[in-house]
Amino acid sequence: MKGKFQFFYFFIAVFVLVLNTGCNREKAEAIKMAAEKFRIEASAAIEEINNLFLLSLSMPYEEGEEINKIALDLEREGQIDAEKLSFIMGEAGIGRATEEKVNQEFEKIKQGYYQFEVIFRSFPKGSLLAVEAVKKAEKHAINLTVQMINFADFLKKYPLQFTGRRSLIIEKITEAKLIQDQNLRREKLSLIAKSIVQLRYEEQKAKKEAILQCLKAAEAGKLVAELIRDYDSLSIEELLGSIRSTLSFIAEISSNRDAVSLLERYKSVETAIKEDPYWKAILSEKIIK
Amino acid sequence: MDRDAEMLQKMGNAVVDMQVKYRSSALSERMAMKPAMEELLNDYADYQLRLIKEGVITTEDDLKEMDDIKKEIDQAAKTEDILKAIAKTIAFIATKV
Repeated sequence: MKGKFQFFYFFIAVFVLVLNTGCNREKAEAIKMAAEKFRIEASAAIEEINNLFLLSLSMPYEEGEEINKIALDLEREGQIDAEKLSFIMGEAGIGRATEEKVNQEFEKIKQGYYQFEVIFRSFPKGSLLAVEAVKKAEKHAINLTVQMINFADFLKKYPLQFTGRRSLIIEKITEAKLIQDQNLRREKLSLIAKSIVQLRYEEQKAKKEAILQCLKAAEAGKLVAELIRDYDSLSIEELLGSIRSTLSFIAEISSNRDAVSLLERYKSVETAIKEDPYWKAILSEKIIK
Repeated sequence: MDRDAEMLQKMGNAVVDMQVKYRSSALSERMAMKPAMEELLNDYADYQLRLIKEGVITTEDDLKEMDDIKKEIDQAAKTEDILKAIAKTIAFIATKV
Protein backbone atom coordinates (compact mmCIF):
# COMPACT_ATOMS: atom_id res chain seq x y z
CA MET A 1 0.00 0.00 0.00
CA LYS A 2 2.82 2.40 1.01
CA GLY A 3 4.61 1.62 -2.24
CA LYS A 4 1.48 2.51 -4.22
CA PHE A 5 1.27 5.94 -2.49
CA GLN A 6 4.93 6.63 -3.17
CA PHE A 7 4.42 5.76 -6.81
CA PHE A 8 1.33 8.00 -6.93
CA TYR A 9 3.14 11.04 -5.46
CA PHE A 10 6.13 10.52 -7.73
CA PHE A 11 3.77 10.31 -10.69
CA ILE A 12 2.05 13.57 -9.63
CA ALA A 13 5.42 15.30 -9.15
CA VAL A 14 6.61 14.30 -12.62
CA PHE A 15 3.23 15.25 -14.12
CA VAL A 16 3.49 18.75 -12.55
CA LEU A 17 7.05 19.00 -13.84
CA VAL A 18 5.93 18.19 -17.37
CA LEU A 19 3.02 20.69 -17.16
CA ASN A 20 5.32 23.46 -15.91
CA THR A 21 7.90 22.67 -18.55
CA GLY A 22 5.50 23.73 -21.31
CA CYS A 23 5.03 27.28 -19.98
CA ASN A 24 8.66 27.64 -18.92
CA ARG A 25 9.84 26.44 -22.28
CA GLU A 26 7.97 29.26 -24.01
CA LYS A 27 9.54 31.80 -21.65
CA ALA A 28 12.94 30.22 -22.18
CA GLU A 29 12.42 30.34 -25.96
CA ALA A 30 11.64 34.06 -25.61
CA ILE A 31 14.91 34.72 -23.74
CA LYS A 32 16.83 32.64 -26.26
CA MET A 33 15.32 34.69 -29.07
CA ALA A 34 16.17 37.98 -27.30
CA ALA A 35 19.78 36.83 -26.74
CA GLU A 36 20.06 35.96 -30.43
CA LYS A 37 18.72 39.40 -31.41
CA PHE A 38 21.28 40.99 -29.06
CA ARG A 39 24.13 39.07 -30.70
CA ILE A 40 22.93 39.99 -34.22
CA GLU A 41 22.67 43.72 -33.42
CA ALA A 42 25.97 43.76 -31.50
CA SER A 43 27.82 41.91 -34.28
CA ALA A 44 26.51 44.41 -36.83
CA ALA A 45 27.69 47.30 -34.62
CA ILE A 46 31.16 45.79 -34.17
CA GLU A 47 31.47 45.21 -37.92
CA GLU A 48 30.57 48.84 -38.60
CA ILE A 49 33.20 50.09 -36.14
CA ASN A 50 35.75 47.64 -37.57
CA ASN A 51 35.00 48.99 -41.03
CA LEU A 52 35.44 52.59 -39.85
CA PHE A 53 38.86 51.66 -38.45
CA LEU A 54 39.86 50.05 -41.75
CA LEU A 55 38.75 53.11 -43.70
CA SER A 56 40.90 55.25 -41.43
CA LEU A 57 43.93 53.04 -42.16
CA SER A 58 43.47 52.31 -45.84
CA MET A 59 46.01 53.39 -48.42
CA PRO A 60 44.61 55.47 -51.30
CA TYR A 61 43.35 53.43 -54.19
CA GLU A 62 41.70 54.35 -57.45
CA GLU A 63 40.09 51.86 -59.78
CA GLY A 64 42.43 50.94 -62.65
CA GLU A 65 45.35 53.11 -61.48
CA GLU A 66 47.74 50.28 -60.61
CA ILE A 67 48.92 49.39 -64.14
CA ASN A 68 49.49 53.05 -65.06
CA LYS A 69 51.47 53.61 -61.86
CA ILE A 70 53.64 50.55 -62.43
CA ALA A 71 54.26 51.57 -66.07
CA LEU A 72 55.34 55.03 -64.86
CA ASP A 73 57.72 53.45 -62.32
CA LEU A 74 59.26 51.24 -65.02
CA GLU A 75 59.75 54.24 -67.28
CA ARG A 76 61.30 56.48 -64.60
CA GLU A 77 63.40 53.93 -62.76
CA GLY A 78 66.76 52.84 -64.17
CA GLN A 79 67.61 49.17 -63.81
CA ILE A 80 64.85 46.99 -62.29
CA ASP A 81 66.38 44.22 -60.18
CA ALA A 82 64.73 41.37 -58.27
CA GLU A 83 64.34 43.46 -55.10
CA LYS A 84 62.58 46.28 -56.95
CA LEU A 85 60.33 43.83 -58.78
CA SER A 86 59.37 42.18 -55.47
CA PHE A 87 58.59 45.60 -54.03
CA ILE A 88 56.38 46.52 -57.01
CA MET A 89 54.54 43.20 -56.77
CA GLY A 90 53.98 43.48 -53.02
CA GLU A 91 53.28 47.20 -52.70
CA ALA A 92 49.50 46.78 -52.75
CA GLY A 93 49.81 44.87 -49.46
CA ILE A 94 51.03 47.88 -47.52
CA GLY A 95 49.19 48.19 -44.19
CA ARG A 96 47.69 44.69 -44.57
CA ALA A 97 49.31 43.40 -41.34
CA THR A 98 47.85 46.33 -39.41
CA GLU A 99 44.41 45.73 -40.93
CA GLU A 100 44.67 42.08 -39.94
CA LYS A 101 45.51 43.03 -36.36
CA VAL A 102 42.52 45.39 -36.20
CA ASN A 103 40.21 42.67 -37.59
CA GLN A 104 41.44 40.20 -34.97
CA GLU A 105 40.81 42.65 -32.13
CA PHE A 106 37.24 43.23 -33.24
CA GLU A 107 36.71 39.51 -33.78
CA LYS A 108 37.68 38.97 -30.13
CA ILE A 109 35.14 41.55 -28.99
CA LYS A 110 32.48 39.95 -31.19
CA GLN A 111 33.28 36.56 -29.67
CA GLY A 112 31.94 37.74 -26.29
CA TYR A 113 28.51 38.35 -27.82
CA TYR A 114 28.51 34.94 -29.56
CA GLN A 115 29.47 33.26 -26.32
CA PHE A 116 26.65 35.06 -24.52
CA GLU A 117 24.08 33.93 -27.09
CA VAL A 118 25.31 30.33 -26.99
CA ILE A 119 24.54 30.19 -23.24
CA PHE A 120 20.82 30.12 -24.04
CA ARG A 121 20.80 27.61 -26.92
CA SER A 122 19.72 24.66 -24.79
CA PHE A 123 17.84 26.70 -22.19
CA PRO A 124 14.34 25.85 -23.54
CA LYS A 125 15.10 22.14 -23.11
CA GLY A 126 16.21 22.61 -19.50
CA SER A 127 13.99 25.56 -18.66
CA LEU A 128 12.85 24.20 -15.30
CA LEU A 129 16.19 23.22 -13.88
CA ALA A 130 18.43 25.86 -15.45
CA VAL A 131 16.80 29.00 -14.03
CA GLU A 132 19.52 29.54 -11.43
CA ALA A 133 22.26 29.13 -14.02
CA VAL A 134 20.54 31.66 -16.29
CA LYS A 135 20.42 34.20 -13.45
CA LYS A 136 24.22 34.11 -13.45
CA ALA A 137 24.19 35.34 -17.06
CA GLU A 138 22.48 38.58 -16.05
CA LYS A 139 25.76 40.26 -15.08
CA HIS A 140 27.18 39.50 -18.52
CA ALA A 141 24.09 40.86 -20.27
CA ILE A 142 24.56 44.17 -18.44
CA ASN A 143 28.31 44.36 -19.09
CA LEU A 144 27.91 43.61 -22.78
CA THR A 145 25.16 46.22 -22.99
CA VAL A 146 27.24 48.90 -21.27
CA GLN A 147 30.10 47.98 -23.62
CA MET A 148 27.89 48.93 -26.58
CA ILE A 149 27.06 52.30 -24.97
CA ASN A 150 30.80 52.87 -24.42
CA PHE A 151 31.51 52.15 -28.10
CA ALA A 152 28.84 54.62 -29.19
CA ASP A 153 30.43 57.18 -26.87
CA PHE A 154 33.88 56.45 -28.36
CA LEU A 155 32.53 57.12 -31.85
CA LYS A 156 30.96 60.39 -30.75
CA LYS A 157 34.11 61.59 -28.98
CA TYR A 158 36.90 60.68 -31.37
CA PRO A 159 37.58 61.76 -34.96
CA LEU A 160 37.99 59.03 -37.57
CA GLN A 161 39.13 60.09 -41.02
CA PHE A 162 38.88 58.12 -44.25
CA THR A 163 42.58 58.74 -44.80
CA GLY A 164 42.97 57.05 -48.20
CA ARG A 165 40.16 59.10 -49.70
CA ARG A 166 41.44 62.32 -48.14
CA SER A 167 44.90 61.66 -49.64
CA LEU A 168 43.39 61.21 -53.09
CA ILE A 169 41.62 64.56 -52.78
CA ILE A 170 44.88 66.30 -51.85
CA GLU A 171 46.59 64.68 -54.86
CA LYS A 172 43.84 65.92 -57.15
CA ILE A 173 44.03 69.45 -55.73
CA THR A 174 47.80 69.49 -56.37
CA GLU A 175 47.26 68.29 -59.95
CA ALA A 176 44.47 70.79 -60.61
CA LYS A 177 46.56 73.70 -59.34
CA LEU A 178 49.16 72.94 -62.03
CA ILE A 179 46.64 73.46 -64.84
CA GLN A 180 47.51 76.67 -66.72
CA ASP A 181 44.10 77.28 -68.30
CA GLN A 182 42.16 79.26 -65.68
CA ASN A 183 38.70 78.05 -66.74
CA LEU A 184 39.74 74.42 -66.84
CA ARG A 185 41.49 74.79 -63.47
CA ARG A 186 38.35 76.30 -61.93
CA GLU A 187 36.22 73.54 -63.39
CA LYS A 188 38.52 70.87 -61.92
CA LEU A 189 38.66 72.58 -58.52
CA SER A 190 34.88 72.89 -58.47
CA LEU A 191 34.57 69.12 -59.04
CA ILE A 192 37.06 68.50 -56.23
CA ALA A 193 35.06 70.81 -53.96
CA LYS A 194 32.03 68.61 -54.59
CA SER A 195 33.99 65.49 -53.72
CA ILE A 196 35.16 67.16 -50.47
CA VAL A 197 31.56 67.85 -49.46
CA GLN A 198 30.62 64.29 -50.46
CA LEU A 199 33.45 62.82 -48.38
CA ARG A 200 32.45 64.90 -45.35
CA TYR A 201 28.89 63.60 -45.73
CA GLU A 202 30.05 59.98 -46.04
CA GLU A 203 32.39 60.18 -43.03
CA GLN A 204 29.63 61.67 -40.86
CA LYS A 205 27.01 59.24 -42.16
CA ALA A 206 29.19 56.18 -41.48
CA LYS A 207 29.92 57.38 -37.97
CA LYS A 208 26.28 58.17 -37.22
CA GLU A 209 25.12 54.80 -38.53
CA ALA A 210 27.68 53.02 -36.35
CA ILE A 211 26.53 54.99 -33.27
CA LEU A 212 22.88 54.12 -33.96
CA GLN A 213 23.76 50.46 -34.49
CA CYS A 214 25.56 50.40 -31.10
CA LEU A 215 22.46 51.87 -29.47
CA LYS A 216 20.20 49.32 -31.18
CA ALA A 217 22.43 46.59 -29.75
CA ALA A 218 22.37 48.27 -26.31
CA GLU A 219 18.57 48.28 -26.38
CA ALA A 220 18.52 44.57 -27.30
CA GLY A 221 21.01 43.83 -24.50
CA LYS A 222 18.98 45.78 -21.96
CA LEU A 223 15.97 43.66 -22.89
CA VAL A 224 17.85 40.39 -22.26
CA ALA A 225 19.05 41.64 -18.86
CA GLU A 226 15.50 42.62 -17.92
CA LEU A 227 14.01 39.34 -19.12
CA ILE A 228 16.52 37.40 -17.02
CA ARG A 229 15.81 39.60 -13.99
CA ASP A 230 12.03 39.27 -14.29
CA TYR A 231 11.96 35.68 -15.58
CA ASP A 232 10.10 34.32 -12.54
CA SER A 233 7.57 37.12 -12.18
CA LEU A 234 6.65 37.79 -15.82
CA SER A 235 3.99 35.80 -17.65
CA ILE A 236 4.72 34.61 -21.16
CA GLU A 237 2.36 37.33 -22.48
CA GLU A 238 4.21 40.06 -20.56
CA LEU A 239 7.53 38.66 -21.70
CA LEU A 240 6.48 38.68 -25.35
CA GLY A 241 5.05 42.18 -24.85
CA SER A 242 8.48 43.41 -23.66
CA ILE A 243 10.15 41.83 -26.69
CA ARG A 244 7.63 43.41 -29.05
CA SER A 245 8.07 46.88 -27.60
CA THR A 246 11.88 46.58 -27.72
CA LEU A 247 11.79 45.45 -31.34
CA SER A 248 9.61 48.38 -32.31
CA PHE A 249 11.94 50.74 -30.38
CA ILE A 250 14.94 49.28 -32.25
CA ALA A 251 13.13 49.94 -35.54
CA GLU A 252 12.53 53.50 -34.33
CA ILE A 253 16.26 53.94 -33.60
CA SER A 254 17.01 52.97 -37.22
CA SER A 255 15.00 55.91 -38.46
CA ASN A 256 16.14 58.32 -35.75
CA ARG A 257 18.22 61.11 -37.25
CA ASP A 258 19.63 62.57 -34.07
CA ALA A 259 22.26 60.08 -32.94
CA VAL A 260 23.82 62.46 -30.41
CA SER A 261 20.66 63.12 -28.37
CA LEU A 262 19.84 59.42 -28.47
CA LEU A 263 23.32 58.65 -27.15
CA GLU A 264 22.74 61.09 -24.27
CA ARG A 265 19.67 59.07 -23.36
CA TYR A 266 21.71 55.89 -23.29
CA LYS A 267 24.45 57.46 -21.23
CA SER A 268 21.71 58.12 -18.67
CA VAL A 269 20.73 54.43 -18.95
CA GLU A 270 24.34 53.56 -18.12
CA THR A 271 24.28 55.92 -15.12
CA ALA A 272 20.97 54.43 -13.99
CA ILE A 273 22.49 50.93 -14.15
CA LYS A 274 25.45 52.09 -12.06
CA GLU A 275 23.19 53.71 -9.48
CA ASP A 276 20.40 51.12 -9.31
CA PRO A 277 20.82 49.11 -6.08
CA TYR A 278 19.63 45.95 -7.86
CA TRP A 279 22.17 46.12 -10.71
CA LYS A 280 24.85 47.42 -8.37
CA ALA A 281 24.60 44.30 -6.27
CA ILE A 282 25.17 42.16 -9.35
CA LEU A 283 28.01 44.19 -10.80
CA SER A 284 31.19 45.14 -9.06
CA GLU A 285 32.13 48.78 -9.64
CA LYS A 286 35.41 47.83 -11.23
CA ILE A 287 33.62 46.00 -14.04
CA ILE A 288 31.63 49.02 -15.12
CA LYS A 289 33.74 51.80 -16.54
CA MET B 1 38.17 68.25 -27.94
CA ASP B 2 40.08 66.31 -25.29
CA ARG B 3 43.78 65.46 -25.57
CA ASP B 4 43.20 61.98 -27.02
CA ALA B 5 40.81 63.33 -29.63
CA GLU B 6 43.36 65.99 -30.57
CA MET B 7 46.12 63.38 -30.79
CA LEU B 8 43.96 61.15 -32.98
CA GLN B 9 43.20 64.08 -35.28
CA LYS B 10 46.92 64.89 -35.59
CA MET B 11 47.85 61.27 -36.26
CA GLY B 12 45.14 61.01 -38.92
CA ASN B 13 46.48 64.17 -40.58
CA ALA B 14 50.02 62.75 -40.43
CA VAL B 15 48.83 59.53 -42.13
CA VAL B 16 47.17 61.54 -44.91
CA ASP B 17 50.25 63.72 -45.48
CA MET B 18 52.55 60.70 -45.44
CA GLN B 19 50.33 58.84 -47.92
CA VAL B 20 50.40 61.83 -50.31
CA LYS B 21 54.19 62.11 -50.02
CA TYR B 22 54.63 58.36 -50.44
CA ARG B 23 52.49 58.14 -53.55
CA SER B 24 54.20 61.07 -55.25
CA SER B 25 57.67 59.59 -54.67
CA ALA B 26 59.79 57.60 -57.10
CA LEU B 27 60.10 53.83 -56.75
CA SER B 28 63.41 53.76 -54.85
CA GLU B 29 62.22 56.52 -52.49
CA ARG B 30 59.02 54.56 -51.80
CA MET B 31 61.10 51.47 -51.04
CA ALA B 32 62.96 53.48 -48.40
CA MET B 33 59.77 55.04 -47.04
CA LYS B 34 57.70 51.86 -46.80
CA PRO B 35 58.81 50.78 -43.27
CA ALA B 36 57.99 54.25 -41.89
CA MET B 37 54.62 54.21 -43.66
CA GLU B 38 53.79 50.80 -42.19
CA GLU B 39 54.91 51.94 -38.74
CA LEU B 40 52.77 55.06 -38.83
CA LEU B 41 49.68 53.07 -39.86
CA ASN B 42 50.41 50.59 -37.09
CA ASP B 43 50.84 53.31 -34.44
CA TYR B 44 47.63 55.02 -35.57
CA ALA B 45 45.74 51.70 -35.31
CA ASP B 46 47.24 51.00 -31.87
CA TYR B 47 46.16 54.41 -30.62
CA GLN B 48 42.61 53.91 -31.87
CA LEU B 49 42.48 50.40 -30.43
CA ARG B 50 43.74 51.58 -27.05
CA LEU B 51 40.96 54.16 -26.86
CA ILE B 52 38.18 51.81 -27.90
CA LYS B 53 39.47 49.10 -25.54
CA GLU B 54 38.85 51.47 -22.62
CA GLY B 55 35.19 50.76 -23.35
CA VAL B 56 35.67 46.97 -23.36
CA ILE B 57 34.56 45.65 -20.00
CA THR B 58 34.26 41.93 -20.68
CA THR B 59 37.36 40.07 -19.53
CA GLU B 60 38.86 36.65 -20.25
CA ASP B 61 37.36 35.52 -16.92
CA ASP B 62 33.92 36.65 -18.09
CA LEU B 63 34.25 34.55 -21.24
CA LYS B 64 35.23 31.55 -19.15
CA GLU B 65 32.32 32.11 -16.79
CA MET B 66 29.88 32.34 -19.71
CA ASP B 67 31.23 29.02 -20.92
CA ASP B 68 30.64 27.49 -17.46
CA ILE B 69 27.06 28.80 -17.36
CA LYS B 70 26.43 27.26 -20.77
CA LYS B 71 27.69 23.87 -19.52
CA GLU B 72 25.40 24.14 -16.48
CA ILE B 73 22.38 24.86 -18.70
CA ASP B 74 23.30 22.04 -21.10
CA GLN B 75 23.44 19.68 -18.12
CA ALA B 76 20.00 20.85 -16.94
CA ALA B 77 18.64 20.20 -20.44
CA LYS B 78 20.01 16.64 -20.36
CA THR B 79 18.53 16.06 -16.88
CA GLU B 80 15.14 17.33 -17.99
CA ASP B 81 15.27 15.01 -20.99
CA ILE B 82 15.86 12.09 -18.62
CA LEU B 83 13.00 13.20 -16.34
CA LYS B 84 10.66 13.49 -19.30
CA ALA B 85 11.64 10.00 -20.44
CA ILE B 86 10.88 8.72 -16.92
CA ALA B 87 7.52 10.55 -16.99
CA LYS B 88 6.62 8.86 -20.26
CA THR B 89 7.56 5.46 -18.86
CA ILE B 90 5.49 6.06 -15.72
CA ALA B 91 2.53 7.22 -17.76
CA PHE B 92 2.81 4.07 -19.86
CA ILE B 93 3.04 1.83 -16.77
CA ALA B 94 0.07 3.66 -15.20
CA THR B 95 -2.13 2.65 -18.11
CA LYS B 96 -1.16 -0.99 -17.52
CA VAL B 97 -1.60 -1.05 -13.69
